[in-house]
Amino acid sequence: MRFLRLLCFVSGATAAVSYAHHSLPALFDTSRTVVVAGEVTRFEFEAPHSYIHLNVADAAGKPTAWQIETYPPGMLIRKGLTPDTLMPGHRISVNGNPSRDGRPLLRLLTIVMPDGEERQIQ
Amino acid sequence: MRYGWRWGQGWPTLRTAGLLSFAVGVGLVAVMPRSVVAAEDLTGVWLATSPRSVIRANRPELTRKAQADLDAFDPLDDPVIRCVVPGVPRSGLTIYPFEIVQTETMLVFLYEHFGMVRRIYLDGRALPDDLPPGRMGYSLGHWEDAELVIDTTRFAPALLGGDGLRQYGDMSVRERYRLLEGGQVLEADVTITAPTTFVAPWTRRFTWQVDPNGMIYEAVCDPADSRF
Repeated sequence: MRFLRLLCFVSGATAAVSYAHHSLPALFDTSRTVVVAGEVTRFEFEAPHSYIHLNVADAAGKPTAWQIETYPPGMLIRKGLTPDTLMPGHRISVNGNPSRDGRPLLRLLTIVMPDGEERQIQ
Repeated sequence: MRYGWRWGQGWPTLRTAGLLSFAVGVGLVAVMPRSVVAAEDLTGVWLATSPRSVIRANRPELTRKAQADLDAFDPLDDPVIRCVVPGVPRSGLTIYPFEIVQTETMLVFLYEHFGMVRRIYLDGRALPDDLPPGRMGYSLGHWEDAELVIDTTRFAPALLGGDGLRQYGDMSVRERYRLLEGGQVLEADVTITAPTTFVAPWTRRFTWQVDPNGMIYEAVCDPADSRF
């Protein structure tokens, strides 16, 4: 019921509650991981969370816009991720914890960079 | 020049006076309060290297009250969502780095996460009687040989984790820090004593590695940045 309430809040046109710095268990199912791959459309490099925007195509080729949530800039810089390392058009794959409500949102654990290098982020 | 001294035979020689002065000096150091004799310099930026598994390692059994509150917790009630400082020890032991600035009478911990600040007083002062409780508590430290021992009390009730584990204001935290590997590694044993939460004290070991770049980044939190 609590997460249904969460879904109702976030699906509305105007959010009544701010989730700028959410509690991890509130949004993500940390007991599961999924892998998605696609093309970067945008890399928001900011605090409290950075977001990689990814177009992920299904079997029929239809793209879905995913958001991959990760660390703020300071932590990403230490792991070799900067705004220049993920540019629109880059193809990557990411492994992470899915959102509890099934929306296309992932908490980043590992990333395979455009050059094929795998990096542990979490 | 005469050497030595015999009782009743005049003033001691320079050599004897020097030896006596040295002995007095050694004695003074021996009886000086431990807090002002710094055994190590912990200054620097420290990157967390503990595995995530340490966060819940060795956790003792919860009291009935703590377990009931944990089971009933709604993550939407977490103050961190509103950018309220998580405090220590909820934050500051894993993931995000901190910088230590050390003087003879104080250490200051500058955390990257939420920009938290802790002052550790080493000058032997007593805990103020009228100090209000807070999220960071009040920290007094002293050296025991090469270990820095920090005792923190006066915590306000707060969450110990995002899962809803809570302490009820009766918590005290003891940290024992030591430098290893030629000063490149910082290790700490952290013991939480919170009788309303745990049936026994909770001890975990954390490690950090020195950051040669020495950089702490700003990590702001704006509750107006509504995304979901």
